Amino acid sequence: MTPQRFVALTDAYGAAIEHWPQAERAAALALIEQREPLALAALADARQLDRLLAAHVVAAPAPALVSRIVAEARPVAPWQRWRRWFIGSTQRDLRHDRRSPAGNGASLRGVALLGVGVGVAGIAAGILMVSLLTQTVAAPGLTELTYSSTAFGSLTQDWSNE
Amino acid sequence: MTAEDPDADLLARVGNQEPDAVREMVARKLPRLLSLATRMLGDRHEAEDVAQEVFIRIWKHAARWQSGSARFDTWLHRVALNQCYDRLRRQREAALDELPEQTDPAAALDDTLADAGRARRVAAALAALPSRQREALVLQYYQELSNAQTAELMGVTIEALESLLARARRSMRQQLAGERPELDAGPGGNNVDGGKPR
Repeated sequence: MTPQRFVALTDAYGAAIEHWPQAERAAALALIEQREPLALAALADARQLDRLLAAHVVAAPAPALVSRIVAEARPVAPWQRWRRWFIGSTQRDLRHDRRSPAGNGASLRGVALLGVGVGVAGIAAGILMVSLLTQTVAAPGLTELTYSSTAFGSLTQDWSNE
Repeated sequence: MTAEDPDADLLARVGNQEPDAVREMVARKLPRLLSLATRMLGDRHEAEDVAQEVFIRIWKHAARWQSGSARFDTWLHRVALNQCYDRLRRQREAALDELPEQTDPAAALDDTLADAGRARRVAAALAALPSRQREALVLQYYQELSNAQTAELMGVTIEALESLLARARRSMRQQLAGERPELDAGPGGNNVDGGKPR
């Protein structure tokens, strides 16, 4: 290896020879053993920059983040996916709002979505009431409308661990 | 994924929905993903969102992971980088749409008084790099990927990678001129340890 190639490698990969291309490490170490001046100067220079770069340390993940990610790994029922999506998107919107004035409308989307959900539930309740009031016979259907006949009743999965 | 892939067994256990394996996968990969995304995006909250999205992909695909040429860790980096670039593109578009904000004098004073440590200046210098140079430096130096893995992830040749890395390091050196690293070895020493953060 020429000293020039050694300098080019330190320019690219820094001073840690163990992170250089495998095929060039032995020759590089040989140059260091020989105390080649150009190589040693390049190494010292690269080492200084490496130590500056090492000052950029990323903090460990917060336990809350770990918990959220682990919770996402559990198998969930379809309706819970919607719940997670809604809660997750609202949390992200709120976080975005705190950071960016331009995102002030984002959380309103969540509120609007909730409003639409409430509206749909209201319409459904209204239709049910109208159908009950217009029936001429005492409504046996009402008594048949048990929990087991709802969308939720058909699901037998135990969600207690969710 | 090759037979030597160190994550293969763990990934299979995650695919079997073993709770211990899930926790182990998070412990093994989350700090690494968070570091990558934080350094690419310069924003901790965005980085956490990226990490969470990547793990959703892991949980989704673990059970039907197909062996291939790429290691699981390389695939993870690819997914995380794609997420980062999506967000960087949105940030650029948002920056073009928004008018510059009025500077709050009080906030400026706070900034002046706040700790303007070396870590912050390195982070700022990193954020100022062109994105491809930053990607190369983050993958090779901070993530400690080999040159072949980094070049493969970036879709460039080894020569092109070395050029990107050299330009990135030169730019960092220029931006951080005047900073004095805490030296623990004399000049010209043979210590080849770059002193990387863990």
